[in-house]
Amino acid sequence: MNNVKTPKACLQIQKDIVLGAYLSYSTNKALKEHLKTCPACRAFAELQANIKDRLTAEQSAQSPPERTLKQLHLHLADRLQERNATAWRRLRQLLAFRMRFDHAMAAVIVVICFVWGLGRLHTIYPPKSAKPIKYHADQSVIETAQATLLLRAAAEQKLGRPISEDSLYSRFTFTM
Amino acid sequence: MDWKILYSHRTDEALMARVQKGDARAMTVLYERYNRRLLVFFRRMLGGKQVAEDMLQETFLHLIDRAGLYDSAKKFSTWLFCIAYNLCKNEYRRRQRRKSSATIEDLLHSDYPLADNLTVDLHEEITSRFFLEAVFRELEKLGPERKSLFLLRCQQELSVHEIAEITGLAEGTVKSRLFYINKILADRLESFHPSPHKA
Ligand SMILES: [Zn+2]
Repeated sequence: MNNVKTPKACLQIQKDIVLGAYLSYSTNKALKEHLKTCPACRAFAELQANIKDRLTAEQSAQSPPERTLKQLHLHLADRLQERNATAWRRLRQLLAFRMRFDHAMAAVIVVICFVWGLGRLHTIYPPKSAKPIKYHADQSVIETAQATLLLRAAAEQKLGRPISEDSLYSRFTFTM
Repeated sequence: MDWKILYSHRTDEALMARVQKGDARAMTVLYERYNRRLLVFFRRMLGGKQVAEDMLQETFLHLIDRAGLYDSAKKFSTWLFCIAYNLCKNEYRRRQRRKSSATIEDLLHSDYPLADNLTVDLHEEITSRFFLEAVFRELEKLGPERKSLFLLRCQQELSVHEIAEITGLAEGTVKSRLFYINKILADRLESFHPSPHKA
């Protein structure tokens, strides 16, 4: 094989043998036919098969060390812990301050009290714009001033204190 | 073990996605699938049992550390052998020049284990070993890059496409080099013809 120049057909066949996995059915058939009649290509194919067989046998004879897997598990656990720690550290950096648990609880209570107090204040002294005045009176029947006087008296009785005309319209809704 | 059965049906890529989330069981299955392949690859690329074992561990440490970089759309074996190939390249760079071939004495005293199975014919085993050593002696002469191409194809049975991705060579280049390597082996090993299949 070495001193004689390999014919072109044989070169192609030997290429097909090396890249065997890509052979189509027809190429495979042609290759088998060629091997029957060509001792050089047959020797080439035999050598390839031998090498592959030996390499496969060699692979199955390997015995990987047991300690490796244990070390890999430790490494993976370390990485996981590191990753979680990094995520927490990033979150804290994002918040830009370090907070102790009792401090955090105190802050939460202060915020809750503030919101509750604000709500109470809103109930006692609602903003003027918050309650639209619904004043619907037929002025041809009742004079506005007269109605105001009547309503003011009723409101003052209910509240137990004097009330201005402005407050009357902002806090009471009445229709006629 | 139930989880082993469950995990054994999963593809490499699905297992690697679990490793990315820190699943140690998925890593165990991948390790068991590939440890022998990598060991034999490293032993033939770099020589020596200890080096191969160290490199096997190194490969999986890289896998854990770089799990986030793995793209699940790509074949896992290609990615894994890419790590292994690069580790070999680094090791070669470190060594620069190393002993090129094993002598018969090296072979007889080598740390390569004879098959554990005692029914294996010793003569056959030694013949096989001499044959493979002759193959690798020739491969050493061709250089580490060509040896790695040969191993990825003939030992690991990776596709030309995968080999091209791992080595960064064009597919055409991989094909022509593989043919060249095998042609040279055929020429040089013509006198060495163990042919165990022949009567
Ligand atoms: Zn031929």
